Amino acid sequence: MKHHFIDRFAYKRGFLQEVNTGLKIFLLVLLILSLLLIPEKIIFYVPFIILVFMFLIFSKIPFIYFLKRVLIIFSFLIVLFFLSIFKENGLRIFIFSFLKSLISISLVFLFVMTTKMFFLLEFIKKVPAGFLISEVFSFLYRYFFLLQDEFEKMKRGMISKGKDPKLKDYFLLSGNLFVRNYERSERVLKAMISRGWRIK
Amino acid sequence: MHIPDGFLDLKTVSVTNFFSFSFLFYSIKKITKKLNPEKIPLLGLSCAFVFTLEVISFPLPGGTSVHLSGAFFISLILGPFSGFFITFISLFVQALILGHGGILTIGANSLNIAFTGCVMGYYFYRFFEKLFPSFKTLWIFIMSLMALIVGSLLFLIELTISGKILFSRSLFPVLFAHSILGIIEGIFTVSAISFLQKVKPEILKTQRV
Amino acid sequence: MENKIKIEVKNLSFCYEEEKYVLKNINLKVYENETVCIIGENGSGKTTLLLCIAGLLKYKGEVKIDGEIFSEDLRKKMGFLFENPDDALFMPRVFDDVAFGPRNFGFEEKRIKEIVENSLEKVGLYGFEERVPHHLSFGEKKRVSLASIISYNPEILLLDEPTLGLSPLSRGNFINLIKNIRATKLIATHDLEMAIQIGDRIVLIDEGEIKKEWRRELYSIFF
Repeated sequence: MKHHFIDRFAYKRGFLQEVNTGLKIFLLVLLILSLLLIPEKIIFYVPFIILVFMFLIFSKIPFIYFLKRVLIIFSFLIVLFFLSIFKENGLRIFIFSFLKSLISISLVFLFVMTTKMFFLLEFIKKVPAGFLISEVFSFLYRYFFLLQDEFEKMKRGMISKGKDPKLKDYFLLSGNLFVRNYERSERVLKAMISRGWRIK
Repeated sequence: MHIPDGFLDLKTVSVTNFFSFSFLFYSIKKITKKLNPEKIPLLGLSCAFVFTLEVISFPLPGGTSVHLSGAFFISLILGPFSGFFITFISLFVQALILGHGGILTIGANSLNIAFTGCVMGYYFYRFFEKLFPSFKTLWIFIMSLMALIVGSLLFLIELTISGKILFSRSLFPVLFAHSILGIIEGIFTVSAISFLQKVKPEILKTQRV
Repeated sequence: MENKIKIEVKNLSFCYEEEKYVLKNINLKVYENETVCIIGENGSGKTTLLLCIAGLLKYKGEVKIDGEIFSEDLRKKMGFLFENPDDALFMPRVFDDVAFGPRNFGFEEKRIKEIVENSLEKVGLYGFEERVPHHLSFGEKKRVSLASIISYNPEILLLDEPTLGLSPLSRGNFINLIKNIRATKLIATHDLEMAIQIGDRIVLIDEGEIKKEWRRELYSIFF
């Protein structure tokens, strides 16, 4: 199964890769917030678009790969488009919202692709209540690929026995996946304890 | 439905983020105070499960597909605060990795999905389950559906206040779509809980926070 | 001359459910630097015995390590290799998984990088520090799993099915890795060939009880 590893370009030598994680997060939030505040005139969006392209080029991220990732937003935007057009000036409102979305998601992906997961987790630990958040985040990042693969393998197992899985089969597989996951968590706990993790 | 960045105005973003982040920290406080630390791996792996559920395309007739939130389901196992916490993290990571939802709209998305499913759905379910315990399965189904309907109403209100849509024109299509989703989510939650009851009932006795 | 007793198990019993005993009155002594292989059918209690000795399950009876009743303070003397490496590799990168044990057992942070590099080198995975565990092949995960326990130099290794799922070449390499680690080893395995190759003693467990033991001198007669 295709996995989108979030920090796949973080090990290249590029502009964003060298920027400190905390500063990157601050800049990201600042830029997305600025997008909310700028007037709805195309001229104000141009610097953001130029910034995205400059980040892309100087951080050495392949353009086609980046574009493919960013374009997933379209499935959400289509729905919002059809909801917007009933309003007076709905199309104009939608176009500017769409631009903001596109620029925001581009900035998020740029940030994420150029930040080593480890540094992100270390940064999260420093924020209030960050320890629990980073623990859970870490487990999520470690295990969600495994769970997706496990689900696919179960599906394949079903297909190999002549059953093309339908919705109710997916429910059965999901229930199965949860039980396996629950039991795995018990084994992971034992593995952690066996290597000295103490309940504090 | 996840709202991407750019579709909510500053005031809506501020209010929803204030609410959701406050509730997040309150949940973390509850979890650190009450949850057995041995359950941390379970919390983490359940977050991975919720994320996986939200990523899997569940097939529908006609070649379409749907994604489930699993928020209410997880709250029935782990409790409302743990459920909210891990669904929040899952939504945030979805925004980071998959572009499902935005960074500044995390508050709104958490309110619409995590809060309605894990907190509102959970407490309403417990209330009705105590009153009419023989209809447990029915309450699970109804609360799943209700969580999605309330979530969709919040979604509409947020977009309306932000000046992006007309509430009256959008109400029916959005409610209709989310009702279908709610029915599917309801059937999923009922089947998943029944499966656990048959296969590993001790899961349903896990400490809930 | 007899070595000192490293692990002593006395009257150990364990059950998961009421009256369904998985282990019944197990008595076992393992000597320092000895390699003992536990063989038996699926469900005979091999893994459960290892988990009990590692203090990861609550049992009846007694387990002593170096003459002391098992306690959390003795945990750093033991390294447990889990059957499924995905259960034991839970950090976002290999470095953190290998560093996990040393960090918890109080090793100095400034030494950690060197410890991790050395451990990975010993298992033939030098340079794997930044890799994501999920990217690794099964054999590589097993080796990282091994590195994650040898990183804190335990005196005792408890290995659950170490060669399960490995290709013939990987299996051979892994057996050599295990052989070259100086420690007292208790290995639960179906791999009789490996048991004969590296075991000083083979212990047969069946329905929760130790039924037979063979010393190395007797292998050629019985196997």
